[in-house]
Amino acid sequence: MKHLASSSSIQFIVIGALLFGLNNFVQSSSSQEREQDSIVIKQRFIDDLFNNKINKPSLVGNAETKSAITQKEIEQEALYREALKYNLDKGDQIIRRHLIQKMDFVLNSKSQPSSPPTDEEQYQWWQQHQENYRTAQRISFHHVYLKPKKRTDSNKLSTQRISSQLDSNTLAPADAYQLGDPFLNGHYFQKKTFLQINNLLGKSTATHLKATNKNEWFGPIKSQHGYHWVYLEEKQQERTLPYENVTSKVYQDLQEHRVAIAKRAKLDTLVSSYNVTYEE
Amino acid sequence: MNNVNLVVINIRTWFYILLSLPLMSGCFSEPTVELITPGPEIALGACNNFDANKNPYFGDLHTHTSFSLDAIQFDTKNDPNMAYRFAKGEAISLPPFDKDGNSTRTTQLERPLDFAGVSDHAEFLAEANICFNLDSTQYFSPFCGIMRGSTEGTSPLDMVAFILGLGPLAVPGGNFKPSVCSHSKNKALCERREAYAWVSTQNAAEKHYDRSENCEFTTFIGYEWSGTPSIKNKHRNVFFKDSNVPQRPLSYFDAPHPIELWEKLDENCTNTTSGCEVLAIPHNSNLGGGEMFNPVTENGAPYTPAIAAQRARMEPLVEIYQHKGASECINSQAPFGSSDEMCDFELIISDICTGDETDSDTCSPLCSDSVLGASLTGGCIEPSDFIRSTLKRGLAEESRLIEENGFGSNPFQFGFIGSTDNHNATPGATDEFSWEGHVGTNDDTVEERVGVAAALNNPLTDKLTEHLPAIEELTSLGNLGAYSAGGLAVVWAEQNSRHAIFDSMKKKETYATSGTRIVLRMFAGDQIAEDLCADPDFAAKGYSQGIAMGSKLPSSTQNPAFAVSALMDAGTQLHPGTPLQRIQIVKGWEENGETHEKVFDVAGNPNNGASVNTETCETVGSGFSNLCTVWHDPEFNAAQPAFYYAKVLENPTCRWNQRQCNISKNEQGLTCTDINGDAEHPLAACCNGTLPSTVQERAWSSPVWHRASL
Repeated sequence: MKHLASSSSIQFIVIGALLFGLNNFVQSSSSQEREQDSIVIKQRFIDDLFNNKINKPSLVGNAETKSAITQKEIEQEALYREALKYNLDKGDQIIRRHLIQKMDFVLNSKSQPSSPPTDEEQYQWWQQHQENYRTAQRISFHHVYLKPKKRTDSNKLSTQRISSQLDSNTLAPADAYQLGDPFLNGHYFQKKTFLQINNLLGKSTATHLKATNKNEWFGPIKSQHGYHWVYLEEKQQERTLPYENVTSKVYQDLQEHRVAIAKRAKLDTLVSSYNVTYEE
Repeated sequence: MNNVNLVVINIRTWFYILLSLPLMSGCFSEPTVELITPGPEIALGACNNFDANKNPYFGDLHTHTSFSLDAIQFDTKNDPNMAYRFAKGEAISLPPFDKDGNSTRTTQLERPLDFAGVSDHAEFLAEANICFNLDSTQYFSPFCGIMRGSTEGTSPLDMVAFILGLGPLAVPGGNFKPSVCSHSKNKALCERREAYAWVSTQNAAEKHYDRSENCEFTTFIGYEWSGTPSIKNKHRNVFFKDSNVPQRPLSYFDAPHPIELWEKLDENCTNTTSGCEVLAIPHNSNLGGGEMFNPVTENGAPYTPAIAAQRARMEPLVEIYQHKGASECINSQAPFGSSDEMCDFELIISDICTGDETDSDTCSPLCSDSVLGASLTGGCIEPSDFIRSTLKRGLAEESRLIEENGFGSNPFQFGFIGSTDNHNATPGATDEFSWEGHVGTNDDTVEERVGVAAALNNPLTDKLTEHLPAIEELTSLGNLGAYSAGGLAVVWAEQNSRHAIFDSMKKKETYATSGTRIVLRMFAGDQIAEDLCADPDFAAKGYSQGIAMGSKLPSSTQNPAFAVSALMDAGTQLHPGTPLQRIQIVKGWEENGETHEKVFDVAGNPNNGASVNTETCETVGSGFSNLCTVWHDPEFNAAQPAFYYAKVLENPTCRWNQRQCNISKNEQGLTCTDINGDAEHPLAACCNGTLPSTVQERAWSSPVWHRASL
């Protein structure tokens, strides 16, 4: 080792390397300083700036305006550089929010799963989150409608007539609407939720339908529209949709969940790299 | 200025370049979105709600979200996704936001809609994103600063650039767009941000379209084309039949004349092999300054038969009612308007200067007598700004084309829809009980909503008016209290799916409401049975015996019958519906080269004595739960081309302002006696009679046309 260090050729190489390194360092520093102290204005930039600010043909070529715009840009760049030197970007709430938002995008981007979820994972997700894939209770029913008459006794007679005809079961439920008046919202309603029934037939009809038994006529029910008889054909209980019917939604939900989990983990790791202290 | 710069790049520079490449390329620093692959379209008959005789579906095809510049400027932060969630019944939050960014208002529909379409402005779609998202490199540009109302330190030069930047919407030709996006260096950024908004709009529509057998909610992909040359409104909402849509929305800058828009829509949609279908729906002809329905080309030449046919094909519907008023008709003596007191309804511009000494101080001049456009605060007006007049013009235009060419079609043969045009991302929010206003922070309080002659409530207007006082006239939203709660679009369709609804819209089997949910049906034909109203098979027989609303009667010399049936709005659990008062039929016809109109009361009772106590908003008197009639025109002349449409009126109720004023006054322990003593009181408009206190909600059927039979 000692022999090597005393070798003139090795000394030459080491000294040369040190000089080269020093030279680079000096050059780099001075180049950096030069960059920091110079504002370079390119013709293309000025042209674009001018076109951006003034798009009025009569002003094109107006040297005075062009010069003013250029000068303003130079001033703004100089002010920006000085502001950085004075650390004025530190503690600025807008810049802080800007950078936080950018970092949020970075985290989002880095949290994207590298591969799609497997079928098994998706099925498991559906099993564990069945409450997200439930449908409301729905009913299907036939409907006879009677338009209200001005005379109360006339209404009474008409409702009695319809009720007795429905009780006699001479007409199939699908044909029974012929006993009454036309109803613009229809006479057969398939798989409607109670909210939808409320909108179509009014609150009282919807309320009564909840308590109606299947396969029998119920009525008359008085509403804002008149009198209604309903025949409940089908009651579909609230249920969880089969996995096969919701695969695309399951996929989307699971992907969103995976991104959220990954992002959370990255954020936690990031935060844990800091010492947080609480001061009074 | 012509320096050639030799850039020396050292290792450290390389290091930073490599580190920042992902950020510079936009991979990390910008929001990105991928188009969701759409599901298969729902076949006719696949829905549980399929009915060959059709059902009425209630929707809104005019809603703006945070993707519209004039919405986000007022802190509307709900995007298309939130708009659809609202339409389906979810509660959403509204501005203003407190210092921690939490919303101070929430709103929710009492009953969800059946369908909706978001229609953000195609113009400045990129800028709305660039100027209001901190991730954008142009966020701090002067243009964006002014857009946000942060005008501190802005030079007059910047201000001029800004005015010129928004001006393009008002500049004929549309080729004038100095904004951040006119700068060549921002071209890529603007394209990315426009694509982001357009893809997000499509994704939101896809996500919320119910493709299950329940078919409970349908979405439509669309946007608004917002040309306003010379401050004359020519706006149209463009909607597509399904997920086959053009690569980007065609704005006024791409197609600065409606004819060019139709041509480019054909080029980019109808004439492609993708199966794309489209329609355009004009709105606010009441602010059109005579231009919305002017049957001339850009050069002033009259329509040819081909252009008339193109317009009829591309624009089968018109929006007759929305926040910025009714466009049906104006009550004024001919030739200025319609001599019909029922036209005194939700008018933004209430009367025309006739030259008579009885003209009011606030009357609007005819456009032929004015250099002003059609701003809300008193620009010019033309009879053809109103749809009834234009329907008559359509009859005359068809006759002219046939006379000159031997053939031709009516370019103004359109059906009706209503919508809201709200800028809160709240489609269908038409409830007079809880109307939250038109746009964000501009009218988030009762005092602002009833404010008379209130201008845009943001720093931007103040700054603009400093530099250019005339801008106040152009940008003012006028009398905010005159705004209505908006209307709804109703479509008779076999099922609640995109194709079924879109096809019915093309056929004009639609009607408009002023926000209520009246059910209205009309059939016409000379084979319609006189007792159809008593027939439980009203719909099936209506179709078999005649034609539905929106259609043309087959050529016949027989006097046709019109079967019109209406069912009152059932209302909600909290707010029961209002009984009906009457049905009218509005007729327009052409006779000896001149057009005429007449209104017939055909069912109900206009003198039923129903009224409303404006102090309590309790209604008094009775009405009808439903009305139906089979009517014949007593003056029918088979040789005269004509149109007929039905109008159904409810009993009067309190208007939104009256309800909100009553609540505010009670909360503050005030009476009108207290308020009337102070002309500057924020609630002055609640008591000084400048706003109507009641409203007679209504529905308008699409017309039926009779062509002259010789």
